[in-house]
Amino acid sequence: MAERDLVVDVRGLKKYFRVRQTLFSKGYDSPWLKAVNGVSFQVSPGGTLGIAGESGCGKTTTGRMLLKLEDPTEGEYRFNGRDVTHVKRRELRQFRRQAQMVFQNPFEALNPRFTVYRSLLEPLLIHGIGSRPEQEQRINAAMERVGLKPPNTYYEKFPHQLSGGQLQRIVLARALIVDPIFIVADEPVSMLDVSVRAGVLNLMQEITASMQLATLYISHDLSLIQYLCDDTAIMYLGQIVEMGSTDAVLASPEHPYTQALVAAIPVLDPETEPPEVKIKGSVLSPIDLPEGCLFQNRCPYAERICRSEEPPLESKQSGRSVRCHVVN
Amino acid sequence: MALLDVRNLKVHYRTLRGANRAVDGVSFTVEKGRSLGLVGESGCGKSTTVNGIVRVMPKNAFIPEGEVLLNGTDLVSLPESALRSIRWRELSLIPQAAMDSLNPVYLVQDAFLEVLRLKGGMSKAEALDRAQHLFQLVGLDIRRLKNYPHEFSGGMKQRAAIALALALNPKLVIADEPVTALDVIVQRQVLNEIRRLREQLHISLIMITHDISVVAETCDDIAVMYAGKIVERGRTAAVLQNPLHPYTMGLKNAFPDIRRGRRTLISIEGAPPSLLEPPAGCRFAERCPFALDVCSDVEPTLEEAAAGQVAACHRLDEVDELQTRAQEVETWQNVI
Repeated sequence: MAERDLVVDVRGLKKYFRVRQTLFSKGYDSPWLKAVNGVSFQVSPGGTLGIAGESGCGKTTTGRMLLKLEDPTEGEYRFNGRDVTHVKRRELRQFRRQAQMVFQNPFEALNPRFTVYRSLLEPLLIHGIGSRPEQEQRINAAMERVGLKPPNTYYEKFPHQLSGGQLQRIVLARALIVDPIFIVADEPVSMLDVSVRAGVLNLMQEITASMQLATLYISHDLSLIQYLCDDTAIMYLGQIVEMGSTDAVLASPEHPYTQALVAAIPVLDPETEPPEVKIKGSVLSPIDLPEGCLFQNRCPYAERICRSEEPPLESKQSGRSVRCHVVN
Repeated sequence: MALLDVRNLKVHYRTLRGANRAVDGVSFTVEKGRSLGLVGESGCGKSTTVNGIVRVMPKNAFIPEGEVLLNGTDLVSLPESALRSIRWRELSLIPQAAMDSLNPVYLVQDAFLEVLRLKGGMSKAEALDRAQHLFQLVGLDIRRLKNYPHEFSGGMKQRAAIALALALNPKLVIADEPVTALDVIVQRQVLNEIRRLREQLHISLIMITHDISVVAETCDDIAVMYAGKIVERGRTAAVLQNPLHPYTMGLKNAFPDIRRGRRTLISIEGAPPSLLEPPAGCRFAERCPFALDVCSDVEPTLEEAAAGQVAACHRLDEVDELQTRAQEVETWQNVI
């Protein structure tokens, strides 16, 4: 695919935060916390990329940078052919319409004092879209698209009168109502019960495919990523350690960290002994990172080179990229 | 005699609109050394059940009926003072996010010392010794006792909570969502720890979770709850391989299993009924694709349909056919 067709194209994106370690320290001499440490990926129209990793790996910060809620410390971000890395916030009106977020907790994402109709009207008012009748038409269409039929029975409902599954559908409808081309969904179903989760996942899958949306799913849950995403990037301490087609990455993980992540997923069959998780210890502090590979302290295969030289994310012919000296 | 025998336990909440029948007649037993997983979705009454067992409940909760026999003693009719000598020593509860409820300005060790001295009657030196032993037992560095709770990572907090629950050698430990907020790798470590401790100390365990795969990895037996009732109960392997209740079948369909590859997940449409005025018949009838007229009128009781496996469903004799139909997407569509 030609580069100009990409919706999202990020290169070497970094986000460092200053951390004040004592109450009276001055900002400029505080150490940096490297939340995101050089990530690059592309998402094309209709493409779904999943970013997976444990808490603190930088996946949410990455999502926030892609929505311009956070300015990158370094790197380049092209959105729909335009460089938006350093665009000022008030010049982002069009971007804000095209890039939408589906929030994690539907119980908190909606204003409790707004009716469903008012919640869906809000983005239209902000972006000055449509006349009154056109607005109603759009609201109807968006609600039908997310399976809330007939829409007018929900108009006057308040969030507390609806179930989690219905709320998440409204959150989704609110994101879709302004015709975005890019959606970031950060843990879209983690607050929902298993029995309704499947319905929301199926709906998101169908909508992103039929509307040809570029979608970034952020989740700690690999089974959800497997269900929704064509491609998967596994993050560890602010870096992508493995990336490739979801089926390949999850069926035959190559990076030792990905292998451990996959092995640690509980086995649904009680008769099967769960596979062994080979890594030990815990994640290093993102404030004081060592030379070499960031996974060296937990890796069962670490060699001398891993402690001195940082492994690059090497792409292979199979389309897989792995950041590991031993594997490559 | 079972270590714990819960008989027809009901726990209701007083509300302005009448009693919320959160737990409405739940029965199960836990034998010595065995583990039971209590699964269900939010609001099904699993936490309320165990809160009722240890009688640590909000003010508006009450137990209108039922017995909780621990070694033959009914905890429901016991006065609070007698219960106090049973909690921690006979059974202990690890509440959800246990360590987050510790006082943040006290050291972790203070929480241990308080329990060991006040409940266990130990001297300070004995208590410190025991606290160190407990930390070693769950694989924590004993120097960490002098940390504040916020200095612990999620996995360490759960280990410390487990250590605290084991402080006075209880025979039964009840853990409410012990691994829910943890990352998968840490979750695996904590689950392994729980399994190891159970074998080493011969304790019985009740584990509450919404995640059936966690039960599959850790518990001998499983009880599936829906809208304040147990709908199915049995050996974990048997229930997951051969679910008898349509709700259990639906849960399995909706649960992604990465090892079985990509397959379509099927959701159960609708939501559980209000427990202020629960329906007269089966509480799952409204969402059940197999519901007959009788299901909304007559409440099914738990009946044994396979060896050691009980379920509350009017169509237990057709279970083979229902299992086949339950695997088809169309079955679950347009039920409501």
